[in-house]
Amino acid sequence: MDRRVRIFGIPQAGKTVYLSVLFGEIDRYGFENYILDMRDHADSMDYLSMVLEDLVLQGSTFSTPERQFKELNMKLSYQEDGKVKTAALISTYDLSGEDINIIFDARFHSQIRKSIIPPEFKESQKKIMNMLYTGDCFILLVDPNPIGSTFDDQDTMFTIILRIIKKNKGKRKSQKDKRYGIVEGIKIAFCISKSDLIDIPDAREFVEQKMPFTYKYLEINFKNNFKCIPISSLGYNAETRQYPMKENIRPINVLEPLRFFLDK
Amino acid sequence: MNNKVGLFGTTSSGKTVYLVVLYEYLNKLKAELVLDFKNEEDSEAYLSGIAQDLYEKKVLPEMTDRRSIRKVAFNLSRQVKNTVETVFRMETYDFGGDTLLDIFAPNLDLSNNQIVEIPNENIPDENKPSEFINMKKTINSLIEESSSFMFMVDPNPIGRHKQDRFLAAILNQIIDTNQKKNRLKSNSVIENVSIAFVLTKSDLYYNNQHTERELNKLIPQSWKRAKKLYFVKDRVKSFYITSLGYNTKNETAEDGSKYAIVPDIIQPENIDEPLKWFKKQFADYRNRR
Repeated sequence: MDRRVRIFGIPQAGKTVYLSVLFGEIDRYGFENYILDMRDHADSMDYLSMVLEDLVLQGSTFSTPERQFKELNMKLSYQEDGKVKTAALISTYDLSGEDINIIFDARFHSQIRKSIIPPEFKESQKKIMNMLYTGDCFILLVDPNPIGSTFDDQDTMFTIILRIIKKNKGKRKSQKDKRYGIVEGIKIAFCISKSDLIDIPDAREFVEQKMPFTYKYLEINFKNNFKCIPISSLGYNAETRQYPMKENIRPINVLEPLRFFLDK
Repeated sequence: MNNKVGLFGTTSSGKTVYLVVLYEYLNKLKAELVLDFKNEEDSEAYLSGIAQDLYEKKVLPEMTDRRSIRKVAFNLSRQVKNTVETVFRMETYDFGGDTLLDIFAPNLDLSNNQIVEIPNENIPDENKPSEFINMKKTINSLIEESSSFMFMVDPNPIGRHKQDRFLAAILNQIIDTNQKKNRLKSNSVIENVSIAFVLTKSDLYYNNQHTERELNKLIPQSWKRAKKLYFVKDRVKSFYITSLGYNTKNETAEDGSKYAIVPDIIQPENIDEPLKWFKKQFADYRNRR
C-alpha cells in the first residue's frame, strides 16, 4: 500500500499549519488503524509539535524564516505479521516568503533561463523535484484568499507541478517517445485551505472557475483521479470569519485527503 | 532474555522516590526474595540516605546536580540449593537537571522566528561536550544490557512534548539496539523485550484506572509506537502507582503546577505491580525456551 503523499502550495497557503494540525489530530485521536510513526523523523516531530503548540497556546501561526528550507515528514504505520508496515509517508517542504515562487516560477523552467536560478535555491529545487518524482499522491493546497499573489499564480504553479508529474509518470509507448499519455495510479487531492474564510458551495466548481488551466489539465491528463476537498485546519467560524484563538481549533475535513489516498 | 530492568524517566518524574520507597518496601517484605546489594554498596548508601530524609525528615530528594551521574542498582535474589539466584536486577542512572533531555531530546526554540536546537542528535558527537558523549555511552550500554524497561511517566511534566520526545528517543534507541543485536530488519517487531509504562504520582492526579487513556494524552508518540507498532502487544503494559500514597496532600505552586507534601505515613500503592509483571515475563520467556 505504501503511499508517498506530497503537499504543495504557494507561501502562506497553510502547508505547515495543515501538516501540524494533521499531526496533532492523528497523534491525539488516531486515524483508523494507523499509528503516527515518527521514528525516523524526530526533527519533523519537534518542528510540527512546536508549531502546533504555538497555534494552540498563542493562537498565532509560525512564519517560516527566510531562506530556510525544511523538509517535513510524517509516517503512518501499522503492525501486521510481525512487521511494521508503512501505509503512507506524508512529506512537504517549508519555504519562506517568495522563495517558493522563485523555484516554481514558470520562466525558470524554460531551458534558457534555468541557469539564472540563484545558487542557494538549487539544492532546495533538487529536493522539491525529488519529492515530485517520488510521490504518488499529491495534496495541492489552494489558498482561497491569497495575500501578495493571485489565483493565476496558483494556477500557473499547479499546472507546472502537474506537467512535471505527467512527464515523470505519464504513459509512453517507448523510452524514446516524447508524447506523454494519461497518468495512471496517481491521486490528486485539490484542497481548498482556509475554507472557513469564504463560502464554497461546490469545491469542484470553485477550482474550475478560479484555476481553469489546472482543472482542465487534471481532467484531461489524470483520468479524473482527483478530488476537490474544502478543508479548514483551524476550524470554521461562520460569524466572525476570523481565526479561532487558542483551544478553539476545530479542524474540518483534514483527514479527508488521506481517506481518499488510502481508499483501495 | 536477561533479567535486567532499565529504568527511565524525565527529571522529576519520580524515579528516585520510587526506588527509595521500593527499597523500604522490599526491605520490610518478609518474602522469599531478598534485596541484594552485593557489589552495589554505593547504591545502598545512596538509597538509605534518601530513605532517611524521606521517612524521618519528611523531605523529598533534591534534584540532582546538572551533569552529575549516579548509578543506582540492586538485585532481588533468593537462595536455591545453596546458591544465590538473582531473580532480577534493577538498574538506572540518576542524572542531574535536564541532562537526560539535553542528550536525548533537544530543546527547540522557535522564538524570534529562529530555530535553535540545543544540542541536536544530528550534531556530530565530536562537537558535543565530552561528558555528554560519555553519559550517552553509559545509557546506551544500559539499554543494550537490559531486556526489560520501566518508563516513568510524569502526569505533570514541564512540557508534554518534551517528555514524549525524550521517551520516544529512548524507545528508538531500544528498537535500534535490539534490531541490530538480533540482526533484524528495521521494520521487524521486537519480541523479547518488555516495557512497563508507569504513570507516577497518581495521588496528585488520578485515582482511577484510565491509565492508557492518560498515556495516550501525555505521551502519544512513545506509548502508541511501543504498544501498537514495534513491540509485541502483550509485552507492553501500563501501570499507575503512587510512591507516597493517596493520603498525600498537595500544594499548588505559583505556576499552577501541583507538588506533594510528604505525608506522616507513607503508604505506597501498586509499586510492586510492575515487578510482578516483569517476573512473569521472565518466567514466560524461560518456559517458552
